[in-house]
Amino acid sequence: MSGKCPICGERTSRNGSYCENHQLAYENLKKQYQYWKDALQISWQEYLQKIMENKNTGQWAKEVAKDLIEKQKN
Amino acid sequence: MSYTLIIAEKPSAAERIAKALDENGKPEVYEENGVRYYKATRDKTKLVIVPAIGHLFSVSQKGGGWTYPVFNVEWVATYRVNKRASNTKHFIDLISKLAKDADSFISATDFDIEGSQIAYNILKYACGTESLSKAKRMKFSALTKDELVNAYYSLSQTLDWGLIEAGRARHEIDWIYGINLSRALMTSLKNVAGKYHTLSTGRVQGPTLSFIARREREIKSFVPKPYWTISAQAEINGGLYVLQYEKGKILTKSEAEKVVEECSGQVGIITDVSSSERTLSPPPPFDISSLQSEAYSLFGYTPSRTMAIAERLYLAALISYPRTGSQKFPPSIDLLSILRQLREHERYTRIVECILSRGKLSPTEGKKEDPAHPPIHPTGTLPEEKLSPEEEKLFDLIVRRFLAVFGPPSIRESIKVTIAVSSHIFHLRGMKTKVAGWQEAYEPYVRTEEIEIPPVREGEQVKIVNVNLEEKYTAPPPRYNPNSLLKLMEANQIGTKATRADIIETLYERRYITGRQIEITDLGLSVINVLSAYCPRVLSVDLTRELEEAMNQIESQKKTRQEVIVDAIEKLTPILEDFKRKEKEIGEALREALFKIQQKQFSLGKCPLCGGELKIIRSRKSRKRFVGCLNYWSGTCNFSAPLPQAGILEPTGKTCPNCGFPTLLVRRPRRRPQELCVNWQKCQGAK
Ligand SMILES: [Zn+2]
Repeated sequence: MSGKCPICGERTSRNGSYCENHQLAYENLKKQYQYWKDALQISWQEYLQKIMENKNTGQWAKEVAKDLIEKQKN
Repeated sequence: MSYTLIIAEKPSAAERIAKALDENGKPEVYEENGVRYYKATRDKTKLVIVPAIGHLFSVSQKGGGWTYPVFNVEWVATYRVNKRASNTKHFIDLISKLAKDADSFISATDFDIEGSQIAYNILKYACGTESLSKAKRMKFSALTKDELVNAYYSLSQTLDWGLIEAGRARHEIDWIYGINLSRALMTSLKNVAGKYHTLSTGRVQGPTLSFIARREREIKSFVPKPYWTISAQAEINGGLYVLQYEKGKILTKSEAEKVVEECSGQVGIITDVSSSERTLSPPPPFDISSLQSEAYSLFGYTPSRTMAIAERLYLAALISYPRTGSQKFPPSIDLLSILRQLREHERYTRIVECILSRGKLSPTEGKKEDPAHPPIHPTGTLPEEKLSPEEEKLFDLIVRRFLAVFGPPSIRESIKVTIAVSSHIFHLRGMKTKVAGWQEAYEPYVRTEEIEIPPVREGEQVKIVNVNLEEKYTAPPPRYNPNSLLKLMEANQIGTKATRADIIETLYERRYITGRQIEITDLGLSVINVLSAYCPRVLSVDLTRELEEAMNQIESQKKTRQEVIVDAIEKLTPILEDFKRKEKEIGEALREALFKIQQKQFSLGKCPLCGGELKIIRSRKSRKRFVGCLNYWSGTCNFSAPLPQAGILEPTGKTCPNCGFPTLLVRRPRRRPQELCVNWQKCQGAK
């Protein structure tokens, strides 16, 4: 099944619910959480918030973080 | 009366050659249609020296038809295929006329692939095929009188066929790849969209752009990691100094806070003072890429700008030929004589005397070799006319680098003081130059740091005044700049030292990339995405490098031009067939991508006045662009504002902190992008 990326409307990648670019950013987000958790003892939610505000975070990663935060709210 | 016709690469080179070869140094000057040529006499032989102006002939399609694949090429006068080169006609006409009475010919263009090929084409197409067998090759690496006269007396009896054939192959293959791939892209788009849109890619362009795309992806998907650094201020001998914590990065906040807590307000004790010396050998002489790299980091000149300045210095006979890959001086170069001439320049007198006083000259060498030309060096000739500021800077850099290679090593001392503070270790580090050595000659361009520290001894106590904790984050890999991109191309062996800088410029011109810190544009990214999805081989470094190697083998005459071209076409054919098969999908993908780009380019976001949509609109009447709110059509909003007409406008997706209107980036060539509030006429912050 091929759907559309909720962020940019591109076709979703084979192994996820985002397009290829946003999926790549999402994988990075998942991978880096452990570092932040160890370093700051923070929850996934707090982590996403920090990532979204960080100036070194790439645009796609920010967009995914924002999307995940909003999904959580709903 | 017959004569020898000497063909130079550029008008100023022709003048230098004529003056050098004429026995009295006063050749007769003639002019026809704005092109100057010269008559000189040497050893009772009449010489006529005529310039080219770069490539007078170019590759073109043989036979008509805007289609692909096309593999039939021919060489035609450049002015026939390029309107901007209309002045080249005068050069061709003049050379053809002068060739009629010539009984022999000398190719005196730059000694490299391009130069050899320029002369070959002129001989073949402007002077007549029979001239090729009557032509000799004059090889020189600088436009000084001595070098030119020597070159004249040691002519090669035939043309340099290895270089010529390699040059022809390179031009033909690049043309074939460029035209076919670009036409394939454009045709596929045209078939679905119904109109043409200029798109292009090429043999070296594609892989280069894909490096940039890959980096862009890394940056855009980057997620930073946190870490902490600790430094302390300590009072030592009445002065304040900064100490670094022994661990450069601390990975958890709790550990970092613990260190701060345990060290604050403590008295430390010096447990060790150690020093070490490091010997720095002089740098190797400049080849073109190290010159480009140095000029970029010192002056911010792009590689293509450095190449252009160096070219001018070469034509003024101030430096040797800049398109060289060599970092070793051949014994044929009279280093002593160059040094003696440079001594006459007040600025370099003291340094040269110092070098000469040490006796035997032994310049450092780098690894790279180039049989055609020596490293870039001053010829010893001093400027006759005042140089422009940028020429002056580059010339001084080249002279000082040349002087530095003769210098003795420089010796640097580093001192490390270890300080125990409660159970933790801090360091105080000092650096100083003990022996300047070669750095004296290269002084303004040396980037070493001197860090002074006070005299200390073991067992001494130091008071910790405060301890600073900083939270930091890992950073994404840096964007390429024209210099680092050029180095990357070199490391991957794609392109040549003469073409790499131009390829980067082409990517800017095509609007595939933008900015000094190179960003790929949406257009660039779309082309890469489509190519990597449907014909990734075109972007592969391997394919480009294989061809590059094959072309080098023509130069060393291990392969023929025909063999390599046939091979290149055989490699390209399946790619194009594949492209044809997928033409419809490729076209659709391109159309979709371009449509999105247009949407994005014109749409600015919400209008703060009415909540409608702000767009960049082009007036039908005046053809000028401006910002307008779409609710204008329904009569509920009348916001509009004029926009700059020059440059590329790019919505930022951000809003102005002062008035809430969206902002735009205005990009103009060679200028810093400027952020503009679309409400700039009324916005308070815009002034
Ligand atoms: Zn997406």
